[in-house]
Amino acid sequence: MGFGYGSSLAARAANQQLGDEILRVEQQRSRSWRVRFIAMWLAIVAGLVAFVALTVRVDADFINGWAPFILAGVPVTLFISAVSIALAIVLATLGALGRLSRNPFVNGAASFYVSFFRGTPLILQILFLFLALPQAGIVLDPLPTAVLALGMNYGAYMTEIFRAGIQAVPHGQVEAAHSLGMDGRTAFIRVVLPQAFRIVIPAIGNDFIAMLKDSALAYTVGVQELLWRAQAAGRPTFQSMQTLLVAALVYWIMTILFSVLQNKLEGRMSIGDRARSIQ
Amino acid sequence: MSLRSRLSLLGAIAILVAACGGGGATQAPASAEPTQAAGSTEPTEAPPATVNPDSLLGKILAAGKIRISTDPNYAPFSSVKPDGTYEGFDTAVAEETVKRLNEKLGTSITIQWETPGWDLITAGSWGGRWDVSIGSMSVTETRAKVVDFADPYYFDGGGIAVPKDSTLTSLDELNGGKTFCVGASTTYEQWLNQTLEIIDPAMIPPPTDPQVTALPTDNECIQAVAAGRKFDAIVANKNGLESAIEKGQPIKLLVDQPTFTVSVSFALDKSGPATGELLELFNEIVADMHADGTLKALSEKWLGEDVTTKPS
Repeated sequence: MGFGYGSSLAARAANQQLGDEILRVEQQRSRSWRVRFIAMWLAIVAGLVAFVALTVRVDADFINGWAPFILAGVPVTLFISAVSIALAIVLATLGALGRLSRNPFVNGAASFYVSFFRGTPLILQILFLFLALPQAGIVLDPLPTAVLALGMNYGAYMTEIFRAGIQAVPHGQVEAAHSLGMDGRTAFIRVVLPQAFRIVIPAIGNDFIAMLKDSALAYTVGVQELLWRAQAAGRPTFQSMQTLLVAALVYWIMTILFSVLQNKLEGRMSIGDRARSIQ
Repeated sequence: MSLRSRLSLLGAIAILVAACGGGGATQAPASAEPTQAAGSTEPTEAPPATVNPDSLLGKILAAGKIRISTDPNYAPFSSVKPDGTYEGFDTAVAEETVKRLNEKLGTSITIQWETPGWDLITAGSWGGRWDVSIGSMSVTETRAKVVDFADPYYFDGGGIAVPKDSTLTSLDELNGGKTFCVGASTTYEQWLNQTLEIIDPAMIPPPTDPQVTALPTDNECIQAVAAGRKFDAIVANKNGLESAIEKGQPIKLLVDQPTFTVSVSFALDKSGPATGELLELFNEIVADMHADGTLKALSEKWLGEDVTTKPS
């Protein structure tokens, strides 16, 4: 060591100072970046508000009178979205297993499911389930019809995501599980699936947020969710623009809230990854 | 993956689907909430002995409620109120009809409103989701293939409206490629497309080469014109158009003469349980409501004029 104890201390202090300075500049830069970022948002929002104020004659009494009726669609929309995404997760798990199966019949059925439900419009699937199932003696109410169609449709898209998630789990994990004496099934359920789920969590969150808006299609079969209510409220007095605007705001706010939740969840799920990368 | 675990996953789906089914009844306040007690007569426990339990009437009696479809996008015939209940000419007629049905049978059947879109109501094959349409369905030969109609409770006149600043003044000017806006699956759309099968000697012949835009309901047509979209004309129910004009919408009737007049009736699904007994009761009730002036009074209250007598 060429340096004495004292000079080392001085160098360390200088280093510390430089480090603090860099941090300060960085923080300042990122703060001013955020200020400009928020300013941009506010400017666009102000522009939109001005545009709406100038073009749509907003009748506050009218909106206040109908707001409770329209907002009563929120729990319906959330319920449809939550149950549909749960159904989609189950179907996607099954579908992914099918797509990974070496059994040609199972794989064929799974890939047909994915192909059909990704290959036809969602609105058509809803109408088809509503009109066609009764011909076979199965009569589902509008709400379960919509849930079934949304769940099947999203399940098809998520099948491919789940398949990729399962395949992304390193094969060494299965080998390690086998070496501990687990059989194939236990290893899959206890070792592969949990890790695969962590990989696909962001995609599920993303799909749920998309589902919140696609659930509006339940409107076509008369489910009184957010969009249905906004339409029914606006039409009698020819003020649909206003009620649709209310619905748009509510959808948007719901999306923002769930995006924040999703970010939190993703942060939690990736704690393990970060710890590993630091090591 | 073993068979057992596959089966347990299938079980999970079955439970989920069942949960959806249950959720439909409880979680959709929409269809359940606006149920209204329509009758106040003494309830009788057993339905009349002669009613076939498998018929539509038998099923309604067993359920203690009648599910009536209404499309609340057609004020002043049917629209929703902020508290989620419905009002309008059709709604009032339906409530009065169920009240009289209860008086006749000594029952206390209640109404459960269902609100599927108009195109689903006219499509038939309701799969038993609702029992009857009391919602301004015009009697056409095409529709009569999928639904059974009761005797008419009013007579619908089609109307032609043009934007307020339109220079059109006569029916002849609608010929030759003018643009029209109509509600989808309505008789007005069929009239424009020359597929309307009704017998009305006074029907105005549809314009030649119409450029038709069909929006989900008539209402969107009026709002589209109000917002500045260019249509040469809107074809819709004449009372609905008049009501819109009264509410200050920027349209006017082109001519006072109705485009066509057609019977409007309650409709029952042909593909469902036997409709005969209920249809007969409905016909008696409609005849009574015509005879004692109830329909006329309701028509004048909601539509501002009497549309319940067949124009000669």
